[in-house]
Amino acid sequence: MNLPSIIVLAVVVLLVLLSLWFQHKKRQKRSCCGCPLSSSCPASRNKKTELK
Amino acid sequence: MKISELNIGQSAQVLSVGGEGSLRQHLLGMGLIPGSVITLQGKAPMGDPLELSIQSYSLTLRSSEADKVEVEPVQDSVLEQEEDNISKEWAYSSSAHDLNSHPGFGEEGKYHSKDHAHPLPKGEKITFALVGQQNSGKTTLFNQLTGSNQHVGNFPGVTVDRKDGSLKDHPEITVTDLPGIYSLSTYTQEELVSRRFILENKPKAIINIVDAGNIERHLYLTMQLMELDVPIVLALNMMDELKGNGGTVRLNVLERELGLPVVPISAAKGEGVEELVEHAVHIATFQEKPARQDFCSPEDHKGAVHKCLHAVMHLIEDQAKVAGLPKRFAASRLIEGDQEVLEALGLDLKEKQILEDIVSKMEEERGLDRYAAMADMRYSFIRKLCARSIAKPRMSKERLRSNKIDKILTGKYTALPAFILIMALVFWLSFDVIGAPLQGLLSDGIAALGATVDSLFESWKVSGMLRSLVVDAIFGGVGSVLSFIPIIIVLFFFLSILEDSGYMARIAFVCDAFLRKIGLSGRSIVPMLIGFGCSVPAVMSARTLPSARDRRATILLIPFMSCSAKVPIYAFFAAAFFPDHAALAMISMYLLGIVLGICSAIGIKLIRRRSQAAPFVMEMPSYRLPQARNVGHLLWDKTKDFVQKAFTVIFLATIVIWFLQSFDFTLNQVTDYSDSILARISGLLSPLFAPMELGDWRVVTSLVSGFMAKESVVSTMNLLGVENMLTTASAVAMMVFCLLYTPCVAAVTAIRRELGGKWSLFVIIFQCLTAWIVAWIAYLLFSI
Repeated sequence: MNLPSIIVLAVVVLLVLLSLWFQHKKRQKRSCCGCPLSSSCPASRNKKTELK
Repeated sequence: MKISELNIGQSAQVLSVGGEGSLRQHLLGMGLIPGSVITLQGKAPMGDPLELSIQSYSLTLRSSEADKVEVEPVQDSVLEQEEDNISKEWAYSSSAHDLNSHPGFGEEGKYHSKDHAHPLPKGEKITFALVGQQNSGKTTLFNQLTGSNQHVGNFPGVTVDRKDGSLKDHPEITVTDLPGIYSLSTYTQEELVSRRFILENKPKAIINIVDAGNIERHLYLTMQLMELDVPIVLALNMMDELKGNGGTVRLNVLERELGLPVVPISAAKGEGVEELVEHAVHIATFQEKPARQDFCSPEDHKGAVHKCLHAVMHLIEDQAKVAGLPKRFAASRLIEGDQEVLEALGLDLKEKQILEDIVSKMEEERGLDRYAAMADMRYSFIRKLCARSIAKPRMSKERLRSNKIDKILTGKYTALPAFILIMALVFWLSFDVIGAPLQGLLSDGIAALGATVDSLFESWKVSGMLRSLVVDAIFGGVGSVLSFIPIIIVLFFFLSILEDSGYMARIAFVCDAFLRKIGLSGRSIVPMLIGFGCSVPAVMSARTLPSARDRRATILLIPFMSCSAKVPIYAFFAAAFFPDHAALAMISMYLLGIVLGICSAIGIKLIRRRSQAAPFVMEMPSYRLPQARNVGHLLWDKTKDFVQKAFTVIFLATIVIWFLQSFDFTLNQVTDYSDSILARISGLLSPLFAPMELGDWRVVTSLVSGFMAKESVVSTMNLLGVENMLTTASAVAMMVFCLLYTPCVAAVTAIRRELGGKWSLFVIIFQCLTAWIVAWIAYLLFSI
């Protein structure tokens, strides 16, 4: 594998790692903050807003 | 008589409000109390729901709910006479000096005294809760206070999450924007959790935002908030509109009577916000609580409610202290039968019996049941207060303008044609006139960039495998998705204009009767329309539905709406197999999706027969000119979200597909795609599609790649040469299958976020099963 190929491969790997890291940060941001008002909170997924 | 028996434009006085439970309390809280006057403004095209004018706002209700309210027609002259009587009785008669003197709540001066102040300990963080009714401008004010760019819209219930932000120029102070609530009852989960937030998180002060043009109804919530014994500053929003309509507010009177600082503002223009911040920081720092909590009058109906409230307050004083609840708040809630407060106080049997006796005695003396009596007590105070402090025009310019526009847009014979025309225009402009050429340009640009990179790599002698990865997979996969940005931007531009202008609420109103027949709510129409653009924002927008039942049913139907990513698939097959009837073939796919969506909705309705439809109680906002800032923010958010997704989820998925397509199980690069991992895996699924002549691994591979992004179906078919191996019948089956099978991974993720893992799995299985059955039937029909 020549040098340009290695550089291209390194760039692609870097981009993959960056997008994985970005996904991870986004998921962390969405993780439960303890507030049932937040739609990302597991508690709010099952919230019953049925009107009586 | 019943409300639905009134003629359009006829006014009537409310005699009694029937029904039961929290819906009844909600209606009472919205001002439908015995003695109040309503006017029937109009009916939706199918005669249901009804639009009522009450106080200074419009309320929509289904006939079934409205008919629980008994009314008696009244003449306009009688109404005018009654209004004059209230004004004369309560008109401020003190000297001009008293009238103009400023009480000085929330500021250094005569009210604030250092001797009586209870300042927060040094270093304690100040937190504000921003509380107000729906569509009062909370998020607009939140953006002004914090410099955020949260989405705002002229549609009730845009804020569905709690949002925190730091006060501009005061990074140490936090402001929390809570969802809009009409009262502190437990009608919706939002009301319950907003109440819990205030009681448990204990913000240091509340900024209560009130629409000056509709102050009576908004003050109902203010009075409940004042019972919480937390410092409050009242932000009187949309003062510019009130003044523009010739109205005015005697701020000093309002401030003195309520015992809290009142600041006139215009959140949209940023006027008065600095003064509001000064007052808010002051009351939070010195913990200046409202100087008044007692609104019940000893003279009103022999003081029935007054005696009851004070008796209950004495009865529960100790328990309220132990439970950490403000006693006035606890007493009010107990009288209104709040189970959560009752449990928190832990009253014994004897105390419960005494409580019941006190409340029953009050009901007997007042001649109203407990809920109506409490609502009436609050509204009596509000009516008197407003008569003394507010001079408002009979009808605002905005309301008059809205009524004129609504004659066409919600008129009996014009509403549906207007709706179809407007939506057709939006889709035509988005997908054809503006969106398509821009998409073509971007697509060409990406293709040219890919070609340049390819020739560059060739000159650098980069290995063939890496060239294929970058050019075919990354530029081909991510590029094809990115090329849809113009369509998404244009579609959301029009949809945000419809929302910001107030038309979305009218669409919900017009479509409610039909959607209710198939088990949905009028509000479901908004996510379903967005679903024609993209399922991801459509699923997210379903959050604005107040009932979990409607939210779930709506999300389950969104995959039936043909999203813009399916357009290239239909176009591909229509051009290849039906060149003379291409448009008809494409429209048929859209219609088939809608028809099957309706059938599924009816199916869900039949399965969940016992589940009651959620009431359609919605405030109809006035039409407003869309604000460029709001539209701009929304477009920016959507574009950012879409690009982020393209470079994360779709980028990774494309690389995985490329890998599976380029290598065999021994990890050697394949020269023939039929030896690839993807071909082998797809081959396992091939027998499932054999009855439709779609059993070739290349067809299955195209469908599997569509799970990552529907756009990939066409590119994979092109790459593998699928077109030549299909008959007309199998092509139709393929089109139908693509229309109905599982939504893409991004949409499934959005469904999982909103409904949870089990439901997202159900959607995948249900859609694939439906797709297979309908595609097989279509194949049989075209094989004959």
